[in-house]
Amino acid sequence: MIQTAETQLQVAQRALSETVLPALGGAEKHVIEQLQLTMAALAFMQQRLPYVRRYYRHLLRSYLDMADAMIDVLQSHGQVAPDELATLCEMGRAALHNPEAEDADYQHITAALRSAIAGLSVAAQGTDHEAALDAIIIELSGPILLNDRMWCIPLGFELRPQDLPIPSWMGR
Amino acid sequence: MADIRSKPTEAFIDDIRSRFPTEKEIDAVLTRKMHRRNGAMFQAVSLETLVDGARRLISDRLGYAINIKDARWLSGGASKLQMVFNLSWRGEDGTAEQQIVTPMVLRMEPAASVTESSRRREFEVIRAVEGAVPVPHAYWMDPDATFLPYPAMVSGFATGVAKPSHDAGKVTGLGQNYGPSLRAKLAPQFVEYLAKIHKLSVEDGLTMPSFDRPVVGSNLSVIKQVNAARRIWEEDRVEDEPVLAVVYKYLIRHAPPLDHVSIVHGDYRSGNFLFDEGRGEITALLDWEGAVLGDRHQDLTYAALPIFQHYGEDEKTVLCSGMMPQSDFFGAYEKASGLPVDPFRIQYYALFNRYLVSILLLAASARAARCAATHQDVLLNHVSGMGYLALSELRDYFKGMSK
Repeated sequence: MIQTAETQLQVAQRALSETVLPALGGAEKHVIEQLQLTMAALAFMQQRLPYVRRYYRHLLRSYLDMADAMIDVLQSHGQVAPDELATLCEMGRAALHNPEAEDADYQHITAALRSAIAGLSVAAQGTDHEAALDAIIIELSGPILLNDRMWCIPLGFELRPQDLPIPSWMGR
Repeated sequence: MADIRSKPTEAFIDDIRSRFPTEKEIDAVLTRKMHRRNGAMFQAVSLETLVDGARRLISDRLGYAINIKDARWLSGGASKLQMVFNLSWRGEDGTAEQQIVTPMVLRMEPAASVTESSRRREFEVIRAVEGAVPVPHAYWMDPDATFLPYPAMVSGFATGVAKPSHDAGKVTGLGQNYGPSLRAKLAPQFVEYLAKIHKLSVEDGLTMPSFDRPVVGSNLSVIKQVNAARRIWEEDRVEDEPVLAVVYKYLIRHAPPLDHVSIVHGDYRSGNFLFDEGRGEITALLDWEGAVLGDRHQDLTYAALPIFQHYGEDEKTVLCSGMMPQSDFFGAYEKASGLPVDPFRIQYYALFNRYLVSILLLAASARAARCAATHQDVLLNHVSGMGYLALSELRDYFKGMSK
C-alpha cells in the first residue's frame, strides 16, 4: 500500500503552506490564523504518529506503577485496595503482554486507572493514609507530566524544548 | 462507552451543582452551558445574523431606529465571536440633532468557550471600572440572548494593538515579548492600572449586582471560586487527573480569609490590553469576563504565571507578562496601591491560578473543541495542548510548597 498516513499528511501540509496560504493575502486575520493552526495540527500528527503506540504503552505502565504504589500504602495501613483498582491493574498488565492489544485498549485502561486513582485520593480524605496516597500521586506524576509535555513539544509552547530530556518512547 | 459529559442528564448536572456550590450567576452560566449540550449543534453564525441581532438590540434599548454599517469580523481572543461596526445613531438619549457615527464592537459567546462566563457580569464590571482605568465603554447587553443567537454585549471600539508589530505571531498574546523599549513604557502602566482596579470601592452594594458580595475576614468567597473551577473540571474534563484531586483538597482546606475586597480582573496579563505602539500607552484593558470580587493576590499571581512569561534579552531574567521580574512587579504594585503583598496569599493564589488554568486548558478548551461548539475549535484544541505545561507547573509548584 502506497497510500500511507505519512504521505497524506506531507502532501496536505505542502498544499496548505505553499499554495493556499500565499493565496490568502487579503483574507481576514482569523482566517489566516485558523489555517496556520490547521497546518500546525497536521505537523503535530506527522511528528507524533510514529510514536503513538509506544507513548500509550509507556503511559499505561506509568499509571500501573502509581496504582501498585498506592495499593502498597493501603496494605501497609491495614486497608484493602478497591476491587476496581486491582481489576484495572490486571487488565493493564494483560494488555501490555498482549501483542494484539489495540492502542484504544491502552487508552481506555489508562483513563480508568487515572479515574480510580483520583477517586482513591478523594475517598481517603481525613484518613491516616491520605497524606501517603497523595504524596505518591504528586511524586509519580512528575515524570508522567514531563512525558506529556514532551509529547506536546510540536505545539510550540515550551520555552526551552531543547532542555527537556529525550523520552524513552521516542529514543529507544 | 458513552460520554455523560457530552450529553449530560439532569441528575448529572444537579449532582455536580450540589457538590460544588458557587456564586449564583456563575451557577446559572455553568448550568446553561450543560443544558446547551443537549440542544442543537453549534452552527456557524453569519455576519448578517449578528448585524440583524445587534440592530434589534440597540433599537430596543434606545427606543428609536438606528443603522449599522461597515460590519466586519474582529479577530483576537480565544473565546468570543466579535464583530466591529459603525453605528449611525442620535446618541444614547436620542437628542442629537443629526446622525452621528460611532465605531462599536459586538462580543457574543459561542455555544461553548474556554471561559464560560456571564455577559451580565462582564458588562457590570466594565461599567464599575470605567473612569478609573481605560476600558471600552459598555453600551448595551443581551445577557439572555433575546436578540442574538447567544448572550452578547456591545461596547465602544478601542484603538490600539494587542501585539507589537515585531512579535505579532503569538497566539492570544501568550509569552508576548514587547521588546525593551516598549516594555519600559508599558510596564509602569500595567502595574498602575492594576493597583487602581484593586483600590476601587464596591461597598455601596449597588455596583456589580450579579456578583456575590464577599466579606472581609471570611474565606467563603474563596471557596466558591475554588468550587467554580472544580465544577468546570467535573463538567468538562475528557479524562480524570489525580494531581487535580489532591490540589483541590488543599485549596479548600487552606483558603485564606479576605483582608480586603477588590475587583479582581481575573485575566490580567500580557495580550489582554491594547496599546498605542508609537506612544507606548495602554489604551484599553480587555477581557473582563472572568472578573470576581475577591483577593488582589489572585491578579498578581495570575499575571506572573509561567505561561505568560518569557526570558529577557539577557536570556536569564524571567519577565512576568513580558513586563518585569516577579519581585519587581510585586514591589511596584505595593508602592502603587498601598496594599500589602502577603507571601502566604501569594503562594495560595499562585497555586489556585495554576489549578484554574490547568482546568481551563485541559477541560474547558478541550471539551469545547471536541464538542465542535465554537467558531474556532482548531484554536481551542491547539491551546489545550498547553494544559500539560500548566499541569506540570502546578504539580511542581505544589510539590515545592510541601517541602
